[in-house]
Amino acid sequence: MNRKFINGFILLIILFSIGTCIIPQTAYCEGGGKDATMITKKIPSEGLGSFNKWWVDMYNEYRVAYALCATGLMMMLGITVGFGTDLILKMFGFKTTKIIHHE
Amino acid sequence: MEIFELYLPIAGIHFNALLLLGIGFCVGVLGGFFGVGGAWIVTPALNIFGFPMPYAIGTDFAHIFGKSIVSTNKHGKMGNVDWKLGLTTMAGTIPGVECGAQLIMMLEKYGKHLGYDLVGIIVRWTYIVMLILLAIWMMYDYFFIRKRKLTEKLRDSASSKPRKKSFIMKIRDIKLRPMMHFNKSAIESISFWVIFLIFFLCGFISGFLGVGGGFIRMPALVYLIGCPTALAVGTDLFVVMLDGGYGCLTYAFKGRVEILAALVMLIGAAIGAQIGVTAVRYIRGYGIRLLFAFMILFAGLSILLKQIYSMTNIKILSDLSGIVIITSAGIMCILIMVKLFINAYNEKKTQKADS
Repeated sequence: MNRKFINGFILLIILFSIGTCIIPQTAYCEGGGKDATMITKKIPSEGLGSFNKWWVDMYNEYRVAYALCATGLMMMLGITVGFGTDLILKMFGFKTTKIIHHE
Repeated sequence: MEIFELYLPIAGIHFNALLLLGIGFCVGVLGGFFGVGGAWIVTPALNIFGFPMPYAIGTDFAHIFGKSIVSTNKHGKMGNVDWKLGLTTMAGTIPGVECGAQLIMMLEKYGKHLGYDLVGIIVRWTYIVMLILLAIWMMYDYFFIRKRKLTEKLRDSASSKPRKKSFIMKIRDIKLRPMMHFNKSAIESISFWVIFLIFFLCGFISGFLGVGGGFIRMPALVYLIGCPTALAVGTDLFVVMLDGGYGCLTYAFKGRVEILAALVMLIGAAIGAQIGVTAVRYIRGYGIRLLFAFMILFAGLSILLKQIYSMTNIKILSDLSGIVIITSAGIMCILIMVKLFINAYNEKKTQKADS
């Protein structure tokens, strides 16, 4: 059989597995091996500041939006703080470029 | 300290923001340096300081996701991520995790039939034995095998006798098609099925123990595949990032992410992760492995204490278990930073002297 075809086939299996099963499976393991149940209770938002109120309202009413916003925010904040710290480390003279792998 | 008290509306508690920053920073350094998610440190740490358990894992996932993006990105820039190897290793993980989880379910049923918590006992003891054995092996490798290899190398270079094949070379010699090559990891040729089998076993352990498995994958990449340590760390973090993203999304959807706590922790973790990843540049592979061995030894000790607590019900042992893991993580974190600063300073001094 054509070598390119075999490589492509393996790649397809890998991508399919990652997309459908591997990530959820390993993620559940990270969380203790069990799929957690949904928390349905409503959080009271009276007396909260605007930032907290916004999050709590979204948590109570639009759980999908809450999940997407939380994940997106984590990603954005991670990149931003990471970028900032990278600059600071460079300023202090630490090298952050490619390394030669040595044992 | 009251000014740092933060109200977390979703979890419904007040929590010290400095503590969250500190835990995040510590796990960030360790995660970036060892290539692990660090849930095994964060969850007990949050729990011991009074964070409600239903939100601990989800919040942990959220910050792990952000932190692993920082670490993977930086490791990628340093040339420490073998994307192809990372994806390939994941292909072996799926049936492994599934088989491990199925075995747990079987044991659960059998335990119910017998009338006691069979799973808890078997999982915890397996975890303890595995962590301690892995730590001992890594220390043995550092203190004995490395020295022996160096002596053999010197002796063999003096004589014309061909060198004995290492275990990794024997594994790579298995010619079971399709063969794969990973230029970045300097693996010229290895059978896909070998990788599949190794990571099937890693996945099995992961599924059986109910853990993310970063602490299994990293040594497997080094000792069985022959990946350089820094590359193993970066590649493992890439896998952690994918898990973390999915975990964050699903746990948030289930209402188990306390976003404010996750945000504060992430600030600490992102800074810590940068320092941890930078330290990989300044500390040699064997040094990373030795520190990792000590870290998992303490993790094993912490679980051992928890197991003794579950057998004897002596409350102090449970607290001690949390204290052991937090203290060892803190000390390790300081050690990594001190090593980073000393090595960076020495390198700068040498460069100045050369110029």
